Amino acid sequence: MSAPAGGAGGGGGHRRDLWIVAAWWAGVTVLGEILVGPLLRLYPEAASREGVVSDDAIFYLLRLVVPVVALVVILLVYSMVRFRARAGEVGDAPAQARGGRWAFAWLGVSAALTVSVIFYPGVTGLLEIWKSKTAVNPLTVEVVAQQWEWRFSYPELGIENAETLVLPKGRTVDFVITSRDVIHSFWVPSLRIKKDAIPGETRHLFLTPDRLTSTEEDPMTRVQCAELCGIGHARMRADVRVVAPADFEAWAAEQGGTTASAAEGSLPSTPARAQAVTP
Amino acid sequence: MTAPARSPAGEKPSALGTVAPMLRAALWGVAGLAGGAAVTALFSGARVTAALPLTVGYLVGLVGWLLGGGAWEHWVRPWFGVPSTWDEGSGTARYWRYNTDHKVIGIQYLVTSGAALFLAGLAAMAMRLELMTPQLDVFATNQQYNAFMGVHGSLMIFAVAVVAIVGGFGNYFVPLVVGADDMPFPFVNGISWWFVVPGVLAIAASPLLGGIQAGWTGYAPLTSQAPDGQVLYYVGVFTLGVSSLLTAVNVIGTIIYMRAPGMTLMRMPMFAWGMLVTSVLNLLWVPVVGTAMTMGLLDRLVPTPFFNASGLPVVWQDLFWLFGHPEVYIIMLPAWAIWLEVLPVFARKSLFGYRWAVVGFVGVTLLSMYVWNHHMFTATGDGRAIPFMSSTEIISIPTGFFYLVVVGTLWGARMRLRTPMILVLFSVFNFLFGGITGVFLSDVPADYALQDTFFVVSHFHYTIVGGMIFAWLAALHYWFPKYTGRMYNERWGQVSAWLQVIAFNGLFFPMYIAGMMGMNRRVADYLPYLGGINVAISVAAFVFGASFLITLANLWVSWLRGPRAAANPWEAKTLEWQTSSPPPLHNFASPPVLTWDMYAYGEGTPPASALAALAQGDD
Ligand SMILES: [Cu+2]
Repeated sequence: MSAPAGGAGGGGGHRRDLWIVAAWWAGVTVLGEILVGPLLRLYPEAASREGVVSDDAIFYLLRLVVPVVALVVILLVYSMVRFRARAGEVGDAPAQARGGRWAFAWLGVSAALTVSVIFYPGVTGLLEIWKSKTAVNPLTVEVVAQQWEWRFSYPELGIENAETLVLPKGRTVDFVITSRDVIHSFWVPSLRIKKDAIPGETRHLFLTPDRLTSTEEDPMTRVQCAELCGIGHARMRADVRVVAPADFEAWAAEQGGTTASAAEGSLPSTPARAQAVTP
Repeated sequence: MTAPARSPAGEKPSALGTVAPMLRAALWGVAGLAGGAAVTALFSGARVTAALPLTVGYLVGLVGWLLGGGAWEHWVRPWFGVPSTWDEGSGTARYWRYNTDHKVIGIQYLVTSGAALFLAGLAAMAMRLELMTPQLDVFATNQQYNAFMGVHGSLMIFAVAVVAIVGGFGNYFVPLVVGADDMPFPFVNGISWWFVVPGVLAIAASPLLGGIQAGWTGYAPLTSQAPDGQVLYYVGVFTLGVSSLLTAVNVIGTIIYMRAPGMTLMRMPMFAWGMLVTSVLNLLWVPVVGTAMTMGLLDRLVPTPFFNASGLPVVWQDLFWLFGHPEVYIIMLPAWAIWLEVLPVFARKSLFGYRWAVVGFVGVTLLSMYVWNHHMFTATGDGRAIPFMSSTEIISIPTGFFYLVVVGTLWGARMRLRTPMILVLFSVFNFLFGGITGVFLSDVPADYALQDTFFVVSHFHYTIVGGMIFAWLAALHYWFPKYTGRMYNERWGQVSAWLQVIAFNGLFFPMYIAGMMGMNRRVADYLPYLGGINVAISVAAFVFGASFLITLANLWVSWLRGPRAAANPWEAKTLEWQTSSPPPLHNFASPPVLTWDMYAYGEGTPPASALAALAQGDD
């Protein structure tokens, strides 16, 4: 590795170029990391404890890949400019240098990065999200998906087939999700985590809303079907309100008085509305 | 390998004579379709376009098409002891009939997948036009939009992404790069392309029967409600799969048994390595998707309950992605192979880390079979999260080796930035973002938020379009002088390449942001707050679409009127360049013997002109 700068001898011979690339890399990485911060602040904050875990994973990975992307892009661009055949250079480049050391370094770093992201933010994030499964006294909300609407029942409160999803802030909700016809996916973008609604199966999703929000204030706070489910898929939405616990009690009491009429408007048990899409 | 009869050159057939076999094939195909459907409808009492008559009609029509193209004379008659009377034609007539020359078949595949790309691209343009505004306005109904979406996705995946490089360049160049005179089973090879056309037509015709309403992934039980366009999805994908299987057998056979003397496995060209591992994946996993398509079809015809609520709906997803994830690498492995094939030639520098590339090919191939559930994290139970997250993250290690080889080869190079090289560098650049966002999607906490949004749409377009299609464009230009004998226009090649990379990134990069902002996929209308970003995406999409017309015009005109190309215009050292352009019927004047390192460039290595004499023998 002691060949003179720019001389023959391959990779080791371009010592000066290595330093220039390293300087560019350091500069672009620092700049990238500085820019990531304000960019991420533009992203609306998650409205659930579990959603924050998901956001943290995305943000961490974004910061982690800045130097990776910077390195590869700088190497590509630098090579395109510096190692281009100039006018009059007709022959081939100097013979390939052996680069075993670089290759093993590449393997080591990429393996270490990969294994590290499996643990953080992967496994640790999942464990953090799954903690909510053991929350004390969760509020059960039965979510029934059906072409092309959502119905929410609160068995503990005697509320059936509500068309708006009302949630108390700060209490873990056990969403019990199923479908009456095809596969749908229960998703409130501002709560982040989604779960598919599958006919014949029941899935649990534990989320803890931790910010007051509603569909009127923020279109990302809406139930949106995320799995293609037919021609009404795009509009398979429902309004959502995350309210203070006291307001939730008031809402529940109000709903409780109208349980009977809510039940009357309930869905037929056979999916009569699941009409085939006819040509 | 017995050489089938080929008519002597000289007598020039009329235009009608040239296309006559394909006309006969189309006629027999349409007759079979109509007859099969009509008779079945008569006996079953169903409409002619109902699922059963449609299926039977398609199968009979498929057989008619195959026989009409030449299989009648060339396959069926010999079964009864009657000698084949088939004439494989000469000149352009070869492309319009059953032909067993791997180079003819390669061109047939290339043109067909190019046509499929054009059709599916038009569908995408219509979709982006619709998405210019939040509400439904271009299409009359959501169903029409979904029909275009189904055609776009199904054709792009099953008739372009997995076919364009493997079927086109795989057939044309695998025998050439390993120094073989053809493939081991030319009869089988001849028929393989004929399965592509009915598959493409079935999918393209699906809007006439209500469209493929469940998208290219065909999730059950939504499919059970879908109109009969769904039948065309099942039979179309199945037929395209048959074609891939037959090609896989031939590619593997060529590479294992027909390499030139001196070409050990570890001296094989990168392209041969890529085609070998891709074909192994095809051989193992295409049967799985064939099974899935058959079961899905039976759920409509019988109807069996495999995938409805009394069966198990998620099993469809398991079967589909068991194939579908290896398939992602069936798409990318050939693209990486093209990167590494083109780079040393234009870098004028030896390939860096050949062994690392081989480990990358084999490693990705093995791992690709254990990652499929990452498409289903929101559908399956929590227990599947950690194992599949781990296997998916780990696959980025062998994938990274390709980047290692690329940057190692570029370092200290003496690069000639011609169109193929520029396109490869763009493919490397684009795929970087596709691969990196794959890390986000394999991280389950992040995936829970990003799954089924435009983030996913952007991710896989960055890999398939940004990675594979750009590599395919690079190969189209790189091998153009070889398969046409003429040179493309360099200036227009570079103009289209730059336009493509700028428009591509303008089109797909904002989709990552749209997805994070709550834009879910497969919708024709969306909430107004997402309006602005969608206008920007659509404008870039139209530029991107138009840029392909420049490529098309450049290659078309050059093929007809471009300047004659030398046998080895790039001064490359792989075998396909050591024979004339285009190569003669059995590829090499005399069987080549490999005595040099095909990726050794640089001071002290023999120039390619010396190799040409070696390969040509003493003629
Ligand atoms: Cu839905």
